[in-house]
Order: sequence, then C-alpha cells, then structure tokens
Amino acid sequence: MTTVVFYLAAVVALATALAVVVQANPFVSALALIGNLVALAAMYLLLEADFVAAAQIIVYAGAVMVMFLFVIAYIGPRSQVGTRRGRPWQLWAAVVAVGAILAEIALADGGAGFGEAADVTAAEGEPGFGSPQAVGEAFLTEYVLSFEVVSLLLLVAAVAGVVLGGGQRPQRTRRSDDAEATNAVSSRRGASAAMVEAEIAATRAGGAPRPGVGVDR
Amino acid sequence: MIETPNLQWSALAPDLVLLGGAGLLLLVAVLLGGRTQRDVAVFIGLGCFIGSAATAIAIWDFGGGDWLVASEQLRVDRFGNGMRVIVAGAGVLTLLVAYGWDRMETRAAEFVALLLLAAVGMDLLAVANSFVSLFVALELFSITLYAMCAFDLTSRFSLESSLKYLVLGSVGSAVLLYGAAFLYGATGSFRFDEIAAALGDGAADDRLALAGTAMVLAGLAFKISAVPFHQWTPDVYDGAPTPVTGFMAAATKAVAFAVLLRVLLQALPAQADQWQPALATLAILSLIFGNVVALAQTNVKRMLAYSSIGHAGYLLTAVVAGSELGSSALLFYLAVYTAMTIGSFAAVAAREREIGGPVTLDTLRGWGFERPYLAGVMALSLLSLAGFPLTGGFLAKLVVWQAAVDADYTYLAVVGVVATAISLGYYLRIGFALFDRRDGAEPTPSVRRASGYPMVLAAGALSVVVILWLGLYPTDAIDWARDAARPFALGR
Repeated sequence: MTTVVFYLAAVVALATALAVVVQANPFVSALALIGNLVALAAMYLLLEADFVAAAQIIVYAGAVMVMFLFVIAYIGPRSQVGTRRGRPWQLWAAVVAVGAILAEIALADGGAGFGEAADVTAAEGEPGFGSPQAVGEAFLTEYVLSFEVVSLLLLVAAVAGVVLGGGQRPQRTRRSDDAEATNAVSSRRGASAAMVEAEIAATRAGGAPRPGVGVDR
Repeated sequence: MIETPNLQWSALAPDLVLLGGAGLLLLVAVLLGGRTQRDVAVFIGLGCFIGSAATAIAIWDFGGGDWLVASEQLRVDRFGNGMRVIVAGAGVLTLLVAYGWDRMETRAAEFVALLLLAAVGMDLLAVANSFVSLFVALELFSITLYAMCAFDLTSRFSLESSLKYLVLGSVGSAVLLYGAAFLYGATGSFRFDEIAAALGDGAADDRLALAGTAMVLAGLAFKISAVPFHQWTPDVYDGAPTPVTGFMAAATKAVAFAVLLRVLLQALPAQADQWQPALATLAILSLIFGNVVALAQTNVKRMLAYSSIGHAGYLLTAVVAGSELGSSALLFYLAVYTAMTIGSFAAVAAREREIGGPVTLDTLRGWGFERPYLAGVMALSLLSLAGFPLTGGFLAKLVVWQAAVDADYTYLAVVGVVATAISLGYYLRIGFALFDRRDGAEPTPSVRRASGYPMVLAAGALSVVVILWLGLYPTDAIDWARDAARPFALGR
C-alpha cells in the first residue's frame, strides 16, 4: 500500500514539476506547482511527518500559491515576455548540470550512504517525532531563539514591503494624480481597476497617508 | 512539565540594544517626517551601534568566555564579541555615509531600522552554534540586504541589483540548507559541537557527511563571494546604493568569514583533509581572478567589487591555515578590511552625489584638488587595500601569509604576493586619477553640492584612524585577536 502511494505520488510530483517548467502559460505552470506541492505533501505523510505535510498544504499549496496566482492575474498579458526561448547552449549547460547532480546523488548513494545513515539518526528512537506536539515543543524550547528571529524576519519583510511598495516622496505628488495613476496602471497592466483601487487603499491604510502611491510604478 | 530553555539575556545584550533601536525607529517613522526624522533616526542608529559595541566589549571584559546560550544554539565567545564590535563599527560608518543620501529625506527611519535589523542578524550569525541558528540569522540579514539594495526606487540598477542578489543569494542559501540537512542525516545533530563529535567518531568519511560539507562550503562561498561563486558581486555592488554597498562589502563579508571559520573549525575539523585543499583552490582562483579582472574596470564601484573578490582570497588563505595564528590573522584582517572598504566607498558616495552619476576613473580625475581631505581618505584606504607599509592592510596581509607559511601552505602566500603586485595596478590607477593635474585633464564639474559632506568626512576620518592605528600600533589589536582566536585551531 505504502509503495503504491509512493510511486503514485512520485509520478505526479515528477510530471507536475516538468509541467511547471515546460508550460508556456504561467497560469498552468502555477496550477501544476500546486499539484507538485500536494504530491510532496503525500510523501511527507508517508514519512509520518504529519505536521510538515499539513503545513505544506496550508502554507504552500494554500497561501503562497494563491498569492502566485494573484500576481499572475495582476501582471496579465505581460507574462508572455518571459517565455521566449533561451540560447541553445543554455539547454546543453542545463543538461550537463542535471547530469552532474544525478552523478553526485548516485555517487553518494553508491555506498548505500543515504540508506545507512538514515538508520542512525536521532529521529529513530523518539516516539512522536515530527508530530505537531513535538514540533511545537521544539519551537518553544530548543529552538526558541531561532523561532523568535524568524518573527523578526517577518517584521523585516513587512517594513521592506511598505518601503519598496509604497512609492516614494509623498510630498512630491499631487492629489489630482490619483485618478490618473489608477487609470494608467489598470489599462497598462490589464488588471481590473477594482484590484488596483483596493491595493492603493490597502497601502494607504498600512502606512501614513501617501497620495498617489501608484504613480511611480 | 516542559523544561524552559536558559536564555542568558546578558549574553544577547549587544543584539537586544540594536533590536530595541529598530523598534523605536519604526515608531519614529510614523511620528516624525522629513529632515527631523532623518536626524533623529541617524542619532538613534549611532547610539544603538555604539551601545552594541560597548556591551560587546563589556562582555569581553567580563570574562566573555564560552557561554553556550539558548539551549546551546549560540556560543557567545570572544571571537563572536569581536565580530559584534566590527559589525557595530561598520554600522556607525555606514550611517555617517548614508546621512546625505537623498532617500534619507523620505525613508530615513525605515532605512536605519533595516540596517539595525541586518546587524542583529549578523551578530547572531557570528555567535551561531548550530545550523538552525546559523541559517535563520543568515536569512535575517540577507533578506534585509535584498530590500536595502532596492532602496533607490528611481534607479533601475538598484532594483536590478536587488533582484540579482535575491535570486543568487537564495540559491546560495538553499545549497547551504541542503548541505546542513545532509550533515544532520550523517550525524543526527545541527549543533556544531555535536557534529564535530560525531564526525570525529568515524563518520567523517561518510559520503553523506562529505556531500553535506561540500554543499555547506559552496553555500558559504556564495556569501563570501569567492570565485567561482562570485558572479553576483560586481553587478550587486555596482547597482546597490553606495552606502548599502559599503555595508554589504564590509560587514557581510566579515560575518560570513566568521561563520565559515566557526563551521570549519568547530563543526568539521575532522574533515580538514578534505576542505583545506578545496578552500586553497578557491583562494587561488579568487586571488588571481579578482585582481586581474579588476585591472580592466573603469567604474570604481565595479573595481572595488572585484577587489573584494580578490580579498576573499587573502581571507581564505587565513582560514585554510586552520591554526590559531590563521584565525587571529583573519579577525585582524577583517577589522582593517571593514575600515578601508567603507573608507573608500565613503569617498565614492560623496563623488556620486556631486556629479549625480556613476563614479569612473574619468570622473575622479583631478578630484583630489577639489576635495583634498576626502580624496586623501580614499587614497589611504586604497593604499591599505593594496597593502602598503604603515597601513593596517600591510600588517594584515603579513600575518595572513605568516599563518599560511606556518601551516605549510607557502604556495598560497606566494600566490598572494603575486596577486598583491597585480592589485597595485588598479589601486594606484585610482590614486593617480585623483591627483592628476596634466593638461587636458579637466576635472568633471560638480553639478551640485555633495549633501552631508561633513558626515561623510567624519566616516572617512574614523576609517583613517582605524587604518593607521592598526598599521602603526597593532600590538594591542593583535593580542586581542589572538585572545579571541584561541579556540579556533585544528588539533594537531
């Protein structure tokens, strides 16, 4: 049963991973990536890492991918720009790189290094390893400092988002630029005007009042 | 009942000072605006960096010994505290250089807050004792720097440099993380001391451990920008706003080397036979490639970027030695390097503001007569980078080579000497351009007054003081470095 699920998940993971790269339509790529993440979550379940599997579904397949799709929808027609073909040598370089990585894995696994090592890890003895309780306890005891530093990381991301997304020099732009900017952005990007409105409103709610945030982008 | 971890707050004090300042600044960003905001933000930032350095020195004086903090995730020792002082010094200089930057008139509080948070990440990286805290600290300052690179929203190059740094830096981080996972698989621990113990017990030749070591080294080589992991360096250094470039070049390189030394000597000493030749190769490649390609540059920021790749080679030489002498040489070198790097970028920043464009050899021509003090700072920084006698850079190179010869890596010292001779070619070219008075060598006119000139000059003066102090009276500093580096040696 486990073997069947493993191979099923493996096939799905490989196929969707390929689709992510090969598909010309970014929307399809993003959907394939969701499939890939779900297949990987199935693998984690097989490894009895239920917490990681759940987190994978909720955070990656859920939140992160919704944002991806949102961005793709927002950028719209301009997405075609990136799909032109690369130079032929890039293809060959990629093939060589993939070959090198495969060779490395084969070499490392040749002496059954991975299999053996997996038997002697600390993970072995502890019951409940990888369960939500164990993960939660690890976060608040052994790794509490790293856990807190990650929250700083989120703070940095928020500050950076405000600074980089919030346009610049609020006193330079006039209030009348507002409507103009909204029109320009929405027609250029092919996104719905409502979405742009909402974004501008959100930026404003988040920081100090800044007229004309859309102007500089 | 879950046992609560022992967080020894006093050992974290230098980081908490910075963190508190960052929190305060985010309030300042809301309450104040314009130039008041800038002045207050820079004042708070300077206070926090000085406070951080002072607490780090206090911990050093207090014994500073080997404190394993936060469930053994951090090792607060003298080496770590020395690095904290270097990071704080880089922060002070960066703030002074950034003061007159026009973005500081709109986003000063956020910029200084990000700078402080980056410094927190760097401090934590310097005292990390496990791959978990290492990775989290590394990402904290890396992501902060990605944002700071893009700070100049009107410049395409700034945005481009940020994106390139983000993509390539993420690849480096991912490789590092993958390697750490391999090492965990081989040893069952993320902690450096436990990994060292497990590898010493015979796991050193395990293929899994070797693959992990190789990937960790590759990941860290990205951060120290050693050839062939250097591709991001010229574009990012060139495109990023100059104050950010200076901070990145000095502080990032310093802590990345600190953590490289810690990982190699505290987690992977059992694999020294593998990593020593690998790093020696990287050192030679960086020395030759960085210095030769720098010769062909006319843009000063790009030239300094290649020079920083070359310096990664000298610093790697100290790491390869794997001895107490090598580690103390590394610490000494990093202290000098921070001062001379930011010193030269300070002058570039001032000139950039005057002419409103990129600083090249042509636009620097004759500038020495217009701004003798700042040009003097730049000339001295460059001489120190080139390793002229009486400057800190000379002694730093000397101790590095001494360590290499002592550890039977004489050929690295020889390559280093050759590379230094090559490097004179471009360092002196900048120096000559600065004080070029030939006919027809009209200086490029300044289109506007350099804003924040006194502050930039203050930064330059501070760097000069450090360079000359470490060059003329190095005994104290070398003693401190030796004191800090004592535990960092291969047991032979």
